[in-house]
Formats: sequence, structure tokens, C-alpha cells
Amino acid sequence: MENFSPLQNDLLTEAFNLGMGLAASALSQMVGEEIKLSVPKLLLIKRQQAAKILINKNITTVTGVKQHFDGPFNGDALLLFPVENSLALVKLLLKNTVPDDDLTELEEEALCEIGNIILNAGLASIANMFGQDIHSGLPNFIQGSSENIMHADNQDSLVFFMHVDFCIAAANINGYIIYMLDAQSIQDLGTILNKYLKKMSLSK
Amino acid sequence: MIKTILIVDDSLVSRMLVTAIVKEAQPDWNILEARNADEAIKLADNKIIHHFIIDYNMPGMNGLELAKIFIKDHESSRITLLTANIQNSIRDKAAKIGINFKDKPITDEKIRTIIEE
Repeated sequence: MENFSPLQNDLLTEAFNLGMGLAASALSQMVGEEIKLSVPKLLLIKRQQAAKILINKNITTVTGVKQHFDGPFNGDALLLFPVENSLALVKLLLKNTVPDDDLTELEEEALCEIGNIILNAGLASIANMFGQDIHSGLPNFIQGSSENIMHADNQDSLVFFMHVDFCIAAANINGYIIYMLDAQSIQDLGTILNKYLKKMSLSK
Repeated sequence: MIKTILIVDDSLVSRMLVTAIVKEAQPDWNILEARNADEAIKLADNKIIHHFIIDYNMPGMNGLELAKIFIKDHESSRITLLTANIQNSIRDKAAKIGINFKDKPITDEKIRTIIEE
């Protein structure tokens, strides 16, 4: 990745990894099933390319949660599912305490709660590791095309795109956790990484 | 002893989950719910509330600010911040004002631990 050095990239990957571990643990507790995680990918790309990453997985319409965060750096955290997966996840969360007919009514609420927990786990890991205070907004339910979700209309603007795919194999549910930072925040994050590396006497 | 518990969380699903666990553990207890700080303050007014379980990130006043109000007005109540925001900074703030901190997700064990304290 152009803007970060190999050491910064490695450090960020590790922080993200820890966060995704926490997120997977939380999700596993909520649904009572094992969660499999992909290797996280960290990319500096244009918004249009970010949308294509989802489209290339044959995910054209998604449902999920978006949560803005700000503080030392700003961006959006997203938890996304192919639209056909979301009710199955809600059913797992509510553990058959709600009749199937009532699930759709609770879908937005349930996804927001799941998203809130998972996305905050990732942010908290980064905040704690680097001694920062990140403010996360309220989770918002979203549904739409991958292009709309990624604001690919602003296609040339750069984003720092961190994502991991997860799978609840027992229920055949796939999902995606994404953190996107805008260009200015990439620089701010770089400064934080450098401070950490210096503190740990790892910078050259 | 029959107690009263007030659950404050903007998430309906969270309130449902906590309520279900408390009902099973303590079927005789009075369970009150509020979606935000304003509702919670109105609901708790002039009542004895033995336990408060409060979310941190809500529209309007956050859970820590609400907890400070309840610390003053309900001195003998047990207050727990139950939140997805598990940053050290939030944990530290909860500890500083003398309330319990529990991280979401909500589990049977966590809620039972809170209400059995």
C-alpha cells in the first residue's frame, strides 16, 4: 500500500486482526456458532474499486449497518450481508424466541445491534492499542446496491479500505466487515502509527 | 425480595434480550424499560430502582451522563453500563464514577451476574 510503510502496514494489520478477533468472538457469543474469518485486506483504493470488490463476490444488493466514527481519524464502519442472508442472521440472534412472521419487523433493530457490537469491537481494538479515543455514532440500517453503499458516485475519491469476510458455516451466512477512511484521515492515522512505533522503539 | 430494574437502551432487541433473561432469573421482579435518558429519568422519578442497566451510546444524553444523574438521585442502586463500546477510555470513565461495566454482547451469564451482585 503506497501511503503506509511496510512496518506501518504490518502494525495496522495486527491491530485490525485483533479487532476482528474480538468482533468474531462477540458474534459467536450472539449466535452460538463458530465464525470463520478471512485474512484481512487493507487497501488504498478508489471508491469505485471498493464497490467492485463486493460486486466481484456476486453481491449486488446488500443489507446491513453503517456507523460513522470520528476522533483522531474519521470514516465509516460497515457490516454488510447479501440481502438474502440477513433474516437468517436475525433468527439466529433471537434464538427462536420470536415467531418467524415477526422477524422482518425486528430485522432492522437486530442488525443494528449486531452491527453496533461488531463494528465497535474493531474500533475499540484500534483505539486501545494506540491509546486513542474514537467516537462512534449510532448504527444506521442500510440497504441498497454495492455502488450506492460505497458512494461509488464519488468514484475517484480515495479511501483506505480495511475488510474481512466472515462466515457462519452452520447457518450458511456470509458477511463483510469494512472500515473506510477518507484521504485526510489516512494521513492522521499514519501519524498515530508513527508515534506508536517510536514509543515501542520500532521505528527506524 | 421483589426488586425493580430499569433497562435503558435505544435498541429494542437489547431490551428484549435483557428482559427475557431477568424474567427467567427473577420472575417476580418489576422490569421497566426506557429507550433513552429522558424516558429513563421520567420513569425512575419517585421510584425505588434497585438495578439500572444502561447502554452507553444512545440518542441524546449518553449512558455515563445518565448514570451520574442516577448516582445522585438513587444512591443505593446498583448501576451497570452495558455497552458495545469497549474502549478502555469508557471502562475507565465508568470506574471513575463508581459504576459497573459490562461489555456486550448480552449473555445469560452476564445479566445474571449483574442482577445477583
